[in-house]
Amino acid sequence: MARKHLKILALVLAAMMLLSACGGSSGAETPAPADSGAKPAESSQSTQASQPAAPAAPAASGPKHLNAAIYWTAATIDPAVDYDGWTSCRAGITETLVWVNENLELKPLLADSWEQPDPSTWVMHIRDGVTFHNGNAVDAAACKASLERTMEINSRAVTTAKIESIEADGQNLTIHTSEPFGAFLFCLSEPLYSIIDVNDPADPATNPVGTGPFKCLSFKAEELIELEAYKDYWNGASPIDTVSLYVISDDSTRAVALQAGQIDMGQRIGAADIETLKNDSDYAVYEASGTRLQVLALNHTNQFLSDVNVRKALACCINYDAMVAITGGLYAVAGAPYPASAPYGYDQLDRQHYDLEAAKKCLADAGFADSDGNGYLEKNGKELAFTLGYADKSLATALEAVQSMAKAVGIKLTLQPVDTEPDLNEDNFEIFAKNWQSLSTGDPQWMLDNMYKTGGVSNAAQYSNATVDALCDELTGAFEFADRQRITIAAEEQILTDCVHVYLFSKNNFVMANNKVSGVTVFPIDYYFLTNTIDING
Amino acid sequence: MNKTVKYVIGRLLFLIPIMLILSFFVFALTYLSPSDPVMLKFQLMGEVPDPAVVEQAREEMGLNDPFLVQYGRWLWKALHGDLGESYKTGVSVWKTMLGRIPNTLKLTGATLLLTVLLAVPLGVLSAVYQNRFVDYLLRFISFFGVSMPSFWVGFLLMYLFGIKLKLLPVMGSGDIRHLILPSMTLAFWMISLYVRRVRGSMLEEMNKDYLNGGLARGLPKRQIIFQQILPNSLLSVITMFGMSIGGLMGGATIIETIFEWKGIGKMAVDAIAVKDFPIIQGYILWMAVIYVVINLIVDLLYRFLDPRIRLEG
Repeated sequence: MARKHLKILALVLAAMMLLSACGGSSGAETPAPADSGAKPAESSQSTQASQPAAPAAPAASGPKHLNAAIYWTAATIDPAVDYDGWTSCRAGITETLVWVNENLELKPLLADSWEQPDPSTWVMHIRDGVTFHNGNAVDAAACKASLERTMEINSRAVTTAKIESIEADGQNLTIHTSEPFGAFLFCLSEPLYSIIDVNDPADPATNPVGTGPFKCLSFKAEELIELEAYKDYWNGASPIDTVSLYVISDDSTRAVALQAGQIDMGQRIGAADIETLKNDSDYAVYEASGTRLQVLALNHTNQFLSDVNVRKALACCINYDAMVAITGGLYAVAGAPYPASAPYGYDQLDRQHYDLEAAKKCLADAGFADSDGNGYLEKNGKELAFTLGYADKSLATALEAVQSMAKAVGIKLTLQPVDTEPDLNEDNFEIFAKNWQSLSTGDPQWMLDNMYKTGGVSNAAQYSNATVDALCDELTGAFEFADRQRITIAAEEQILTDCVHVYLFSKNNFVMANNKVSGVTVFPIDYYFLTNTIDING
Repeated sequence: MNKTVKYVIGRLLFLIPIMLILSFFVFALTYLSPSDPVMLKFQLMGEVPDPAVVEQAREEMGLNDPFLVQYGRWLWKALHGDLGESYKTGVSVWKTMLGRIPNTLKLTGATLLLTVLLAVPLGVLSAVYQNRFVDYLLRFISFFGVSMPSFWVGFLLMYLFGIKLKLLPVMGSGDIRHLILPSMTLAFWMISLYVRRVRGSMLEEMNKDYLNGGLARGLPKRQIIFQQILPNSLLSVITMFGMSIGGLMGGATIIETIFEWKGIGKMAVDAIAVKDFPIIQGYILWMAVIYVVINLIVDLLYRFLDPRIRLEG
């Protein structure tokens, strides 16, 4: 009997193993990345910013393979779908007509020149000699077909660049906008406007046929993109032959994978790993001040926040340097509507800064006093108290610090974590910790129009200032960069005078790599990652 | 009709009301959530819709209908194998889950294999050498194993085998080498748990009279232990083992996340993080089916292995 029991047990267990094994066999296999092997020969711990799109180094004798990692992919890499083009752009598969470099300057890419015969018309010359990964030549007709497909699929493509119609003639691409729109060229740098060969039979969802330095061999969502260098790349082929671009969503795992030699480079680092990697001579950490801002959005319809003195007191009571230290190097001090990396007068502006006495004076000027001696100020019998909502739980410690700093000047903040960030309107918040992409597409207009202009779709604070409104309108019709810069800075000055919101810090962008990797550039806007300058040795 | 067949049919029929009740709660989860499915869907798709588009989407998704109408429609679709589409990716829930289940089954299989191969012999060893050095050592290690959080064990193994020795990959769900560290991490806890359980059951059986009876009849102790005591003691372990299998098949969420193992547990974590309700619903239903089926298998095993239950039934 006992022997029979054992047999049955063994059979059941064997069946379970078999079931598991069978299940496993049907799963899509992810090839194991090659182990990097030897240690880097020398230390390079810098914030290198090499020239992207420079001619590539001569190829080494054997085939070179790079294992890299990004932190996210959507279900597709079709640039026309949602924000999926960000991945095809990071992977170096697709390119846009123009791009924004590491100094946030607009530069030619597939279009090498352009002119503007009238305020709503742009004639762009498509670079000669560029070919898609299938060998087909890139001309204006191909660009037109690609852009029209994108506008058909994604409504954002119509509204962002305000494209009304497109014409093609040889290498000349003529785009008419629905109105004179100064931010037009910057908008075209968004990966959404990547140019792909729409006539290629390959499915753009998994294999967009672009013009970048790498062509896609295979794509498995949220797992792996296999790439091969495009040897006929117009700006010099990559010295690397093949790339396995892994998707590792967890920051710690990505860093461990680098240290274990499973990947050679990766985008984004968790706070806990920054110092570890910086202090290890085997690795390099490349860093750039990003364009994402962490802001305390203030609701100006609130009875107290409508007073500029209260808003200024909030801005002055925060020790920005201490806040950045709390976040472990992930952020840089902001204090202005646009970050230090942007060419919009960061250094010349009278930015928000820590000044406890100024904060106390502002509150006294506004008529607040601690009449009941409980440490918090009151006015007309009402306590100076606000609810500070936040959805990003990683900010909890920093916001507790803000709470403590506000208490020092008599402002009571009650932290209110929420599951998902609500669509803010004047009725559902007092102060909310928001993450803003301040320079979507590298241009300031989107944020000014939406966040600060009277009636802007994201102006939940209900801020309204005639000067800012006029500057927004002027910006729409300004086409020269110097003009756009001047107008933006003037708007920033007014916004800071009115202390519209509290600008805590800007998020730094990181790329980590082992010392075998060279030619890495990290960009303020993180939709570029793999470039033709990246090389691997050893 | 055979008693056992009747029993199985009865249990399978019992599945129907269980799944119906569960499906009701799963659907209510979405309905009662303070988040607006339309806004969630647009946010996850990266769109900022205008109010007219939102209202149109609400109408199209049937969100303006009464709760029971919405539930009835969802259930009808679910019965036809349509659990909807992920808010985040737009891919069907079934397709998403079918892409992940094989990986979870692989991890489950490897973990079970390691557990069975190590926990049973070590548990027997610990019992046979009760209160001797080997027993103390195994008890200490197993105490340590059940006390250590799995994610911590995982990071230690990553550090040792990945960073220091560079022997094994620390992430991904590719070939068999990728399977080793996550399955070792999961198995470490399970082995520790089952060594103690097998030891306890063995000692309980060894205190019964039939051991002395066998010895008195001149049977070798080893033979009695392996042919009588071990099978009997494993009976009580089976229920626990069934629950463990259920847990593993539901995906070891933390382990799958830190090892970037693309299983169903990681799918659930990712879905919960962004409130991707169709995926969460699919996951809960999967878990329910797994537990109900595993319970059924365990009960059937009991009937085969323990004649008392079979005769009672």
